[in-house]
Amino acid sequence: MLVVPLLSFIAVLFVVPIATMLWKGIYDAEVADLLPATTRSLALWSDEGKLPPAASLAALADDLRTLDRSGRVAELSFRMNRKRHGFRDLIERSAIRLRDEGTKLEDIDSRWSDPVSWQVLKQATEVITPDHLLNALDLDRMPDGSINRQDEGRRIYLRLLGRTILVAAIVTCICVVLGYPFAHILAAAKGKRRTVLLFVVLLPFWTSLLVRTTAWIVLLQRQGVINELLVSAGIIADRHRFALIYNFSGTIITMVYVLLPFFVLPLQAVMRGIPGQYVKAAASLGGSPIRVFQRIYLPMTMPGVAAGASLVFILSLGYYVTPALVGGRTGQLISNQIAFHIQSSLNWGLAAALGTILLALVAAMCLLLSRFAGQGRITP
Amino acid sequence: MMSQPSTENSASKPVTLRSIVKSYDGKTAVVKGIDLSVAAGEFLTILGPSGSGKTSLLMMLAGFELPSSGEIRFGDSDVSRLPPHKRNIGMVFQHYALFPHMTVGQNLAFPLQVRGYDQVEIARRVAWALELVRLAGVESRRPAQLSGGQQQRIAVARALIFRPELVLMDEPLGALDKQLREQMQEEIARLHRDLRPTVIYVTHDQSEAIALSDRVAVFDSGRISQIAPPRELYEAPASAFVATFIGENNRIPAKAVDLCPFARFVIPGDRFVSAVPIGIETKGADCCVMVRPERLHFLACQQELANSIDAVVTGVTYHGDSIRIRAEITGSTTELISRQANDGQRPVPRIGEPILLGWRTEDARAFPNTAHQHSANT
Ligand SMILES: Nc1ncnc2c1ncn2[C@@H]1O[C@H](COP(=O)(O)OP(=O)(O)OP(=O)(O)O)[C@@H](O)[C@H]1O
Ligand SMILES: [Mg+2]
Repeated sequence: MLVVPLLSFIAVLFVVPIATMLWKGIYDAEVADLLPATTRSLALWSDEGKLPPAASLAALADDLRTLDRSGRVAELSFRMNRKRHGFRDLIERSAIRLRDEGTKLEDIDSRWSDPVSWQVLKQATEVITPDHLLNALDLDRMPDGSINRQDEGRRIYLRLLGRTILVAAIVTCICVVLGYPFAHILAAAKGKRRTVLLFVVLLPFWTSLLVRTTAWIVLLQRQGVINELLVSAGIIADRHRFALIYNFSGTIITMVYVLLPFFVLPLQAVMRGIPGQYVKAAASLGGSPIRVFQRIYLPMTMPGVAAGASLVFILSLGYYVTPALVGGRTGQLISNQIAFHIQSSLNWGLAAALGTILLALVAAMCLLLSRFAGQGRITP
Repeated sequence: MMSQPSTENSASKPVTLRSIVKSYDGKTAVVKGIDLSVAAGEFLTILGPSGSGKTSLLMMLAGFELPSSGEIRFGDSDVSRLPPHKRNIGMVFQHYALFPHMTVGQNLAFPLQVRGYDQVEIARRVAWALELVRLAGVESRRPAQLSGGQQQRIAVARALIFRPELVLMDEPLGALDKQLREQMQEEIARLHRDLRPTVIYVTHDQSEAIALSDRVAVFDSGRISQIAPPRELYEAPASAFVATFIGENNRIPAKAVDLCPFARFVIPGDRFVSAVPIGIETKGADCCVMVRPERLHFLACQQELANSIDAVVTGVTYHGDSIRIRAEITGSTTELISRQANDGQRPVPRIGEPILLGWRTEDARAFPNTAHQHSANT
């Protein structure tokens, strides 16, 4: 009974949005809503290589006229053009010509006599569609239903996904290398020293992410603090200032900074839980510091490393604000593309499909990492 | 007997501590100048109340803490500044400290692997060590799958498997229940008899110290109060602290009235008694007379013993094999405890009954009345 509020909270804020997103990735009724009669008529037609019956053609003409009267032709032509280049022009021209009573579609444009156009139209009117998911994987459904890879120039999402995974992996590795010694120092510290160190780790949580990211811009840009220092110290020439921001490296540097606490905190908690007597025992048994670290300390802290690294990796996969601000063109990640499709191109179906793929990736990683973490606890 | 690894029969080494001082904060010393020699193969117990610096001393021996001043020698070499892993010391911790992510076999193999032993020798020694602590066959289990007593045996085996010259144990039985503790005491005594390493053993359980040790060093706030074989410690304590810390003792407040030729003391109730004076220099000094309960007899008649006083029984406990009574000295509030073997002949005293308590002069010792006295190690 007492968990009802929590359950409803989870349902409203997690399950419903995620389900909606998954659904939007495969359900697209926009064209079907704009062309109700055509949709109904084409649903019955499946002959390949042949034109649909005259009734379908008449239905489309009717639908276009209706749209034209309510001024919504542009909506349709915009959506259809996403499916196939040239359709914007075809539909708009047809709509205008159809203002003359009695004009037939076949007479307006030869493409209406081509079954391929009708196949494209039929695919567009299907409300359950794999198109967005295929698109998100750089695949394309041909009018005849076969699936091909996108044209070379339009393959962007897989590359972006690869880059996202690469960035997440690099950020995680850097966090492990930088964070492990720091977590150890933090875990070993006592009293005032510990308070200060913890304060340093937690400080970022008390300032807005936006402010912190902007601070990095001040530090890293071409005329920024770091470059100025290097130039004035004579280490680099004025012409050779480092491009540290608005590119791949900017994304990496800033994300490491933002995500480092998420690695350090769980790891230091695990480290604090390890009684000092294990390390002492190992040393008294003759283990040199390096051996003790290898055989005792590292394996015992491995669950903490796995927990922290998974957290950082998974957070990196979906990271948005930082790459958007400092990533430039080469530092953009998949989530920035999702945001673009939601805010600018208004292709919500594709955004949802990309989100679905990201979600699947995260879920796969969670599974993989939990397995790895489980092993870390038992292997010597 | 057990088949021992042939590679070496560890020559146990003597340990010498010279004026060891330890201060953690640079101001107050926790260990205040310890001089101590432990013979090769000796079992020495450090016994003392909590916070008296026992663990601190052990940590310096093991190399986890550096002495603020003083010198530690193993055999002929000065090891004061040597890091722990180079000291070749076997150490047993109170909470076992078995590595939880390794099996028992891997735990035992660890000290051999870091010493570069080959696989065959490691296997042989692991089997030997398991047999040594009578736990053959648990090799592939994890420490968490063993009982507390078994874990402690493995911890002991791990500390012995590389035949160290010195074995340190810091309250190794502290986490076990009474029965298991007694059983393990016997095991440890047997292992020491068989393998003869030098052992320095820390405990605050005096019966454990007495049962196991060749010698016991009684610690009192960073100093050694007395170091002696258990029997001497019990029979001839050098200070009031040792007298009360080891075994039970009656403490009777007293004043010295005479020291030569015989020491005479006046105790509450204005009775005059005699006792062996230890470190009492002046007549009229405040002191205390100590008599152990089993040496304080309740008497049938006055003449049997040199000292006797009147008292009233305030408590009786019948133990079967012995009778323990509590009695108040007549005319005072000082309570004494007397314990006597029950021979079944005499009647058991009853509460409120007057009684006569007596002791032989050599069974009572009188100490100056300072709460803490440090004498033995200067
Ligand atoms: N690492 C340390 N830093 C500072 N003070 C310490 C440290 N270790 C021990 N002390 C202090 O030194 C004193 C002696 O401690 P120690 O642990 O040696 O006592 P002990 O005789 O082993 O006591 P116990 O029987 O309770 O284990 C204590 O007052 C303790 O607070
Ligand atoms: Mg201690």
